[in-house]
Amino acid sequence: MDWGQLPQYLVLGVQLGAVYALIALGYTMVYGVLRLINFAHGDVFMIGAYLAYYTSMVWFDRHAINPYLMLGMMLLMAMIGCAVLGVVIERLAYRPLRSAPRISVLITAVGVSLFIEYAGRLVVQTSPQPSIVQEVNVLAKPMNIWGINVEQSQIAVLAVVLVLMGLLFFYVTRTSMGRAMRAVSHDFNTASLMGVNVDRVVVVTFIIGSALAGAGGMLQATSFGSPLNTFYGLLPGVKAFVAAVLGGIGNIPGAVVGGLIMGVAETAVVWAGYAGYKDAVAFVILIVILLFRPGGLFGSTAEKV
Amino acid sequence: MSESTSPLPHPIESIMKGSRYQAGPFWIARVLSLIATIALLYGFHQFIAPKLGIYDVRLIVLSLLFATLAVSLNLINGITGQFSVGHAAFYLIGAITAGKLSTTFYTPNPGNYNPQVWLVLMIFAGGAAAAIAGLLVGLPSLRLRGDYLAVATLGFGEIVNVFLRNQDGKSQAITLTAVVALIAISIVLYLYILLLKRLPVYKGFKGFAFGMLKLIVALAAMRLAAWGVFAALGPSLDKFGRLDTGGAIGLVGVPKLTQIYFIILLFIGTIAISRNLLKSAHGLSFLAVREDELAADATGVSTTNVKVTAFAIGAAIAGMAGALFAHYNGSVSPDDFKMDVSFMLVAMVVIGGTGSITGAALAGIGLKLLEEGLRKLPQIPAVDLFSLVIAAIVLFAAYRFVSQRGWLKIDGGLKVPLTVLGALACLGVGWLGYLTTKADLSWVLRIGILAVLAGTLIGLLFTKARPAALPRFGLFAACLYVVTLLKVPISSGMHSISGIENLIGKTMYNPSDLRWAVFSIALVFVMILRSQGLLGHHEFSWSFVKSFLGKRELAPA
Amino acid sequence: MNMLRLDHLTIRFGGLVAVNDISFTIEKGDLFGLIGPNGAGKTTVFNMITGVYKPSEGNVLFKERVITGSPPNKIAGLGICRTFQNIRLFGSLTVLENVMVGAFLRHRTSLASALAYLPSANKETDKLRTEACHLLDVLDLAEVAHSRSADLPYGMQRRLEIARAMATQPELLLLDEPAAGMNPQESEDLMATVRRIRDEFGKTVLLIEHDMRFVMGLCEKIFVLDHGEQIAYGGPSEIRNDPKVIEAYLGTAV
Repeated sequence: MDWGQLPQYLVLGVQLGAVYALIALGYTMVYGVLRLINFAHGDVFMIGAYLAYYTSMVWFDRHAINPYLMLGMMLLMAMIGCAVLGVVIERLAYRPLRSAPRISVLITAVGVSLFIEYAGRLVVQTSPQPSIVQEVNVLAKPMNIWGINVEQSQIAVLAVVLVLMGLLFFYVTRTSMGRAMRAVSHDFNTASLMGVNVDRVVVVTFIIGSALAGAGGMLQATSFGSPLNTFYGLLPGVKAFVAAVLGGIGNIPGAVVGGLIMGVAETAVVWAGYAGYKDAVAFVILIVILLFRPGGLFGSTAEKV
Repeated sequence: MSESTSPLPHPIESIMKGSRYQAGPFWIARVLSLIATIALLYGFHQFIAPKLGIYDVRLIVLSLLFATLAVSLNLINGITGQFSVGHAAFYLIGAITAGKLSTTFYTPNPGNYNPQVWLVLMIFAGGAAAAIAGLLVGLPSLRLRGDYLAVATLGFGEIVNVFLRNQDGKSQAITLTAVVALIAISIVLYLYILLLKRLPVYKGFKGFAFGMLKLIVALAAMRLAAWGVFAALGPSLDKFGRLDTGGAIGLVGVPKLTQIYFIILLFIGTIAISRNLLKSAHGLSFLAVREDELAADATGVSTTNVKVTAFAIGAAIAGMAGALFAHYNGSVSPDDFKMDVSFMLVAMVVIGGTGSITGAALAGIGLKLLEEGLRKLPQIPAVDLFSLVIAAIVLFAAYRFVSQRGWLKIDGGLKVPLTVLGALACLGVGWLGYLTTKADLSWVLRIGILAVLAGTLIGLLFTKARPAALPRFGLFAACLYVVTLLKVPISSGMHSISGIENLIGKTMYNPSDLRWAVFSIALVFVMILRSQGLLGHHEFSWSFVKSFLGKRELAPA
Repeated sequence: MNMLRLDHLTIRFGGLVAVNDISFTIEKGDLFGLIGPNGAGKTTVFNMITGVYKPSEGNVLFKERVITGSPPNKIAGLGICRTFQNIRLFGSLTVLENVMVGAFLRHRTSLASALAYLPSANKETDKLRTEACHLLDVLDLAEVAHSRSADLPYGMQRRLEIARAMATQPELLLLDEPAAGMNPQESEDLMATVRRIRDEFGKTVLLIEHDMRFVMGLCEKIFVLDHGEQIAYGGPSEIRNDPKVIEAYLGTAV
C-alpha cells in the first residue's frame, strides 16, 4: 500500500471505470427496455477491440496517415461495426423469444455469447494474440498534472467518454426517440398501445448500447494495449453488468456512477496488494448490493416482486 | 381416518384410484427395485466392465457425473423455480474439499484406511461442504427473484473460483486467522442488521447524515473485530500456514479411489431422491413455490424453508459428485469448473425440459457424449468450413424467399415427391446407423449415436405426425444435399481469391475446437424452436412414449 | 368470540395514505363484507391482515392475539387463509394437486421421510389426498380433479382457489372478489357455497366484493371503505340506504 502511488491508481481506476460505464450503459438500457440481461454484450465490447485492431493494421501498414485521424477512424469503425452486430443479434436471437419464459431467453443470450467467443476464435486464429501497437496510440505521452503522472491517453479516454455520455444524455432527454425509449422502459405494453413502435425503439437501444460498448472496446484496447483474445470481453462484461446493477439497472446516470465505482474499487484492491482477488471484488460488490439495496444506488429500495 | 384399504365413497374413489398407499404392493416394489439395482450393478461388473477400455470408462463416468449434476440442478431450477447459474461452484467445492482432505490425511497403506470407507467419508465431506455453500447461496436467494438471482449465483460461482485460484500457500492465500476474522466480521454485520431494525428512520438530510453515521460505525466495528481477532488469535493460528489447494493449477495427487459403481449409485440415488420428492406432498410445496410464490406463502408453505432446502440438497449432491470426480481424476483444477460449466449445466436442464428429471438426466448424458464425440471427427480445412457456412446461409435466404412467396407448398403439390425423398432419407439414416456400428469409436459413443438415430426413425415413421414429418424431413435432407453441392463452387472460388488463400488456405480446424461454436448455435436454435425444452414438465415415462407414438393423449403440462 | 379485530390500522406508501385509521371487529361465524369503490383500499386491508404488507400504524388481532407483521405463511398456519383478486393458482399443477398444497399445511411430514419414500410419509400423503378429494367433492370440482388448473374455465378456477384455501383448515376465510366475472347463476351458486362454508363447516368469512346483489344477499355485516377511510358500517338494509355510500358509488346529484 504505497500511499504515494494512490493518486496514480485513482486515475487508473477512473479510466477503467469510464470504460466499464460505457459497457454498463448498454446493459442498463437493454434491460430497461426488454428486461433482458444481454450476456452477449461483453462480446460486443470484444468485437469493438478487434475492429479497432484491424482498422489500425489496415491503415497503419499502408498509409502514413495522421495518427489522430487514425484513432478517430478506429473509434468510428468500432462503433459502427458493433452497432451492426448488436442489431443482428437482436433480430436473430432475441426478437423470436419476446414471449418465451425468462430462463430460455437467458440461455439464448448465453448461447449467443458463447458462439461469438468460440466462432470468433476460429476466425481470428488464437496465436499469436494480436495487440494494438503502441505507436498507434500517439497519445501515450506522459503528462504531469498536479503532481500526478498521467498519460495524455488517459485524459483522452475520459474526454471521449464524457462526450459520448453527453450525447447520450441529450438524445435520451431531448429527442422524441429518447422519450419513446423512456416510455418503453417504463411499461412495454402500454407504450406499444400508445402507438410507440416498440420494435424500432428496441433496435435503436441496441444500436446505441452496442456502439458505446464498441467504443469502450476500442478505448480499452488502445490505451491498455493488452493482448486480445475472444474472451477479452467476458470479465469486463460481467463487471460492467454489476456496475449497472450497482447504479440501479435501467437507470442511465446510475450506470455511469456504478461503472466509476467498480473501476476505482478494482484498482484500489490492486493498490492494496491483493491483485489476485481483483476479479472477485466485482462479485462481492454485486452480492452486497443485491442483499442490501437491490434497486441499486439510484433505484428504488422496493424489491422487485 | 379409516385404514387405507377400505373403499371410499365415489367419486373420491375414482380420483384416488391408482395412487392409494397399500403396504403390500409398496414393499414389493421397493424390494424389487433394490434387487434390480444390485442386479444391474452385478451385471455391469460381470458382463460390461471387462469390455470397457479406459476411454470408454471415462465417457461413462463423465456423462453420468454430469447427468447427476444436471438432475441436482433441476431440483433448484426446474422444481423450485430458482434461477441458479453457479452450480459448478458446488461441484468444485465438493471436489476440492474431498481432494484436499485426501491428499492431507489419506495414506494408501493397506490396513490403515479401507479405501472404500475413506471414499464414502470423503463423499459425505464433499457433500457437506457444498451443502453449507448451498445454504450461503440460498439465504440471499430469499430476497432475490429471477434475473437478479441468476446473476447473484453467477457471481457466487465466480467468487469461489477466484478465491480457490489464489489458494496456493503463498502470500495471497488465506490464513486460518483470516477465516476466523471473516467469521467475526459476519457476526458483527449480522448484529448490525438486527440493530438496524430497532433504530428510527429519519427523512431528508437528517436521514442521510444518520445513514452515513450508521455506515461509519458499522465499518469501524467490523475493522475493530478483525483487528481484535488478528491480535488475539493471530500468533497461535498463524502456525497453520496458508491454505494451499494448488492455486490456479489445482490440486494434484488425489488418490484415485473411485470405482464406476459409486458413480452409478450416486446417479440412481439422485434420480430416486428427486422422484420421491416429486411424488410426495412435500414436492408439491416445492412446485408451488415455483408456480407462484405469493400464493404459496398465503397457502401456508414456508417459501423460505423450501428455497433454502432446495439449494442445500442440490448443492450437496453436486458436492458429492465433485468428491467422486476428484478421486477419479486424481486432480482438481479450478479451470475445469468455470462459468461455462455452470452454463452448460443450466443448458442441460433447460434443453431436457425444466422440471423434468429424466429430461435433465438424458440431456446431461447426451450433451456430454456429444461434446466428447465431436472430438473424434476428422479435421476440416478452414476454407471448406467457411464455404459450407456461406452455402447454408445462401440456401436459408433462398428458402425464406421462396416460402414467404408461398411457392413452396410442402403440404400441397410437392407433398408426394418430398415424402418419397423423406423415405429415402430414412434409408440414409439407417445406413448411417450401419456405418456407426462399424466406426472406430468408443462403444459408448456408438450406442449413443444409434439411440439418437433410432429415435429419429421412430419419430418419423411411427408417430401420428408421420404425414407431416416425412415430407419435411425430405425437404431437410434435400437442403443438406444442396448445401454440399453449393459448397464446391464456393470453396474453389475462395481458393482462387489470393487474399483469402494466403490467410486461411492452409488452416485446418479441429472439430473439438468447433464443438463449442456448434453447441452454442444449437442451443440458440433449440431455445427458439422449443423454449420449454424437449420434455417440458413431463417425465420420460411410458405414457410419454405412448403419446409420442400417438396412441394416447398426454395429460397436459 | 372475537375472530378478527382491526385496531386503528393505517398504511402509508411514501406520501400516499392508502388506508387511514380503520377499525372493525369480526365475530365467529360472521359473513362480513368489505365494500367500496375501486381504489378504496380493500385489497390493501387484506394484504395487511395476511402479512403481505406491514401497516404503518395500528394492529391486527386474531382471536385477541397480535399478528401484525407476521409472515404470510405463519398467518396461514394460525388459521387465516385468503384468495386473490387476480386468481393465483399453481398453473402447471392439477386441480387435485393445488388443493393438496393447501392440505399439506396440516399434514406435515418430515422431508427426510419424504425423500426416502417411507411408508409413514406415504400414509400421510394418502390422508392428505383423501381430504383434498373431499373438498373437491364439496365444491363440485371432482370431475376435473386431474385437469391442469390453468386450463379450467374461469368460474371453476375461482372455486378451486376457495377449495385450496379451505384445505388449510382455516377458521377465517378471506375472499377477494370471489364473484368477479360470474354470471347471475354462478353467483347464486357461489352464494350458496359460501353460506354452506359458514353453516356446515363453521368458518368465518370476510369478503371483498363489487357485486351488490351478492353482498346484500349474503353478508350480515358490511363495512364500507372509500379513499382508505370508513364511511359506513352496518347491516345490508342500513348500508343500502346510507347517503354517504350512495354518494361514494354514484356521486352526488347535479
